[in-house]
Amino acid sequence: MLPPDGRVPGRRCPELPLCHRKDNFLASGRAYAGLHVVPSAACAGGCLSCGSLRVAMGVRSAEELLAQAEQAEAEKLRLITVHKDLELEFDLGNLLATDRNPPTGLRQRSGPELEAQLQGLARDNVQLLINQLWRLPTERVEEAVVAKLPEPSLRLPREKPLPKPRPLTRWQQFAQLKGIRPRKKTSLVWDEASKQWRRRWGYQRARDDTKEWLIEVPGGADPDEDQFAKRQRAKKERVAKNELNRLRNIARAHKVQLPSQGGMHPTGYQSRAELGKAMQVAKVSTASVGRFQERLPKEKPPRGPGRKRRFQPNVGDFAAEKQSQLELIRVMNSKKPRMDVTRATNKQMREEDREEAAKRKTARGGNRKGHGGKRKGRPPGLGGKGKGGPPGPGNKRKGGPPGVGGKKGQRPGGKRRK
Amino acid sequence: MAELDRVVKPKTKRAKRFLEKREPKVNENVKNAMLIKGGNANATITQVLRDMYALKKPYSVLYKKKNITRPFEDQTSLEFFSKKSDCSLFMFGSHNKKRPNNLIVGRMYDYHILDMIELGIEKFVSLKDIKNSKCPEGTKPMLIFAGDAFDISEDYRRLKSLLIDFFRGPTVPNIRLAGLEYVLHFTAVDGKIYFRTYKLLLKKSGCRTPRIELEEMGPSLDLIMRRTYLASDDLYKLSMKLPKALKPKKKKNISHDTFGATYGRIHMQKQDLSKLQTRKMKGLKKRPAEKLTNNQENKSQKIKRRKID
Repeated sequence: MLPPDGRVPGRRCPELPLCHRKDNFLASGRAYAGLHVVPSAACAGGCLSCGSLRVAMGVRSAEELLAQAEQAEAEKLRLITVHKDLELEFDLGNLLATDRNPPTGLRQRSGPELEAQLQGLARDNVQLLINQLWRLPTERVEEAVVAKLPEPSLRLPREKPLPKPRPLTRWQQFAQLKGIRPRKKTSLVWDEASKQWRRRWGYQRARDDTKEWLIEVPGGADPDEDQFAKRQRAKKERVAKNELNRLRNIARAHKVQLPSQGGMHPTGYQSRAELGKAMQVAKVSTASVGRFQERLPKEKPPRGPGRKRRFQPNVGDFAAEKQSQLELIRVMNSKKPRMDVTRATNKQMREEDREEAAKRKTARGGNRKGHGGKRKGRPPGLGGKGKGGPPGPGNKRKGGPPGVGGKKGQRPGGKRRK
Repeated sequence: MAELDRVVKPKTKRAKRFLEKREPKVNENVKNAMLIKGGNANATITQVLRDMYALKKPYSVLYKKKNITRPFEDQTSLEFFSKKSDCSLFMFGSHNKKRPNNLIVGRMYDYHILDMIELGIEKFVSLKDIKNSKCPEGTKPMLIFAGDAFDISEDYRRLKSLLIDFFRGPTVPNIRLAGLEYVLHFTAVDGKIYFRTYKLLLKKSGCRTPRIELEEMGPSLDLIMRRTYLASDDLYKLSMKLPKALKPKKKKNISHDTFGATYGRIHMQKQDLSKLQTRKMKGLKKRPAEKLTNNQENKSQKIKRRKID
């Protein structure tokens, strides 16, 4: 139902822009001839109480009113406006303002004047920044008015490099391939024994194997076996296996070789030693750990990684030990040198071969040089102090005396004899 | 996570948290600053470092003992400190006859020195010399750089970036309007840089935005630039690289031209222009008589077609 004079509150009359009365509108939208309210100078915003209706006088008063309104606004803003030649640049995310105006007023000044000038400049700049900040959208957070800052626009260098994506583990690759997704498990599990909800793993977990005081011996097991120790060993193995897999994943991620693999990777260009090692490892990698593997006719059994020196047990056959000790003392006492016939003959043969070779060389060398200072052709059997003969007792050297085995012409210390 | 990639895994949750805090991340932590005295630091320099520590609390570490190093000659000891305390900004103060009241401001990337700028302090007024009220520690300051010198040379530009990095504080999404307490104002005039700190006083003005009055509060320094050690361009570029997650997403069918105008593309289906909805002009409206004739024409056309078929 419209009020009698056709006015409906809240809408402005569209025809005359100068009519400030907001409630002076007409249902049909057409001008209400002659009765638009033009507010008098006293009531700048248009007031209902002031019943002064004036007919629209002309453009001049309208301009005056506009100017007056602007003046009022300017008065209000006078306190916070600052005039600058060049606009400041703002980065509100960082609460930063950059003033590009050249500071002409500050040159060649010093002392308190400079301070005052600087303070004035700072005040102006801060005022502009605050004006900008107060324009931001605000919200109320626990009785404080809070402005929402935008993202900082100035980019600054990072302090650490970009994080590298972690390479997938073996299981993750497989899961991705198969499309396996992890199933969400409940964090608490009902524990029958204690009749409460307990966590799935960790401190005071639901089904704790280690807390059992009774383990039944399973059907096919040895009755003397320690089941508790068996559980502990199984756990240790699982932990070790987990750790190994973790290290292998890391090694694969960093493309580093695990030391336990021992350099075995089939490249096609492997050395003799590598092939030998690979062959040994392959031999042992059977279900019976290499016990029933055949060997080539002249192949020696592998040395194995075990101890190289084996000692007799401390408490064993006392009679046999006594015998061997007495035998040893007898041999040491005897004046006659002990001789191993085969070794002696081998040694002699080797010496003869060497002599031949040396003679051949000196013959060639002598033809070229004549007498040289060094005599290379010295028969290595002579010289030295009794080291050239058949080996004495207890001599277990494989080669000859070091004078023979070493370089030609070297003497084991001492004077040279010609 | 990098600490799971280590051969020796952390055994406690605390150790794990410690490592997680220090590893590289997409959104980084607030940069910590370390304030170091050189072998021959005098009272002025010591006081300067103490004031800076007060400004930058809690994101700074003040080393109490003197460290006899020369940053411009040998950077290893600074890098070692940075690694141990996880600080990527530093200030090193020293004093000798050739370079009196020397202050080296610098930052690190990946625990190696990125930029270092040596500043000489000509005049210094400390926090405790100015007997005015101070603001609580940990407030985020406002930063203002005045003077066109900050854009002219590369040294000044890097200095500006370094100072912003140093004094910025944490990046926050909201800020309490009443909590804007102090402002650091840097003016570059005549080869000198004036660093002043003012406390903000908000006065009433006629409208919502308050009028600002300033009160000198904190350390004020007159600085001149001495030596610089700036990172090479590619190292700087590397340090500025954004991770993919933070890059602004490109919206399809929107383009911008050089004048700042945004253009959008709309893809439409084919339209029958005869049935287009336009402004209705009463004069062009079809009269009922015309409508009738149109109908008759259509009917006759249909009949014709049928006949032909």
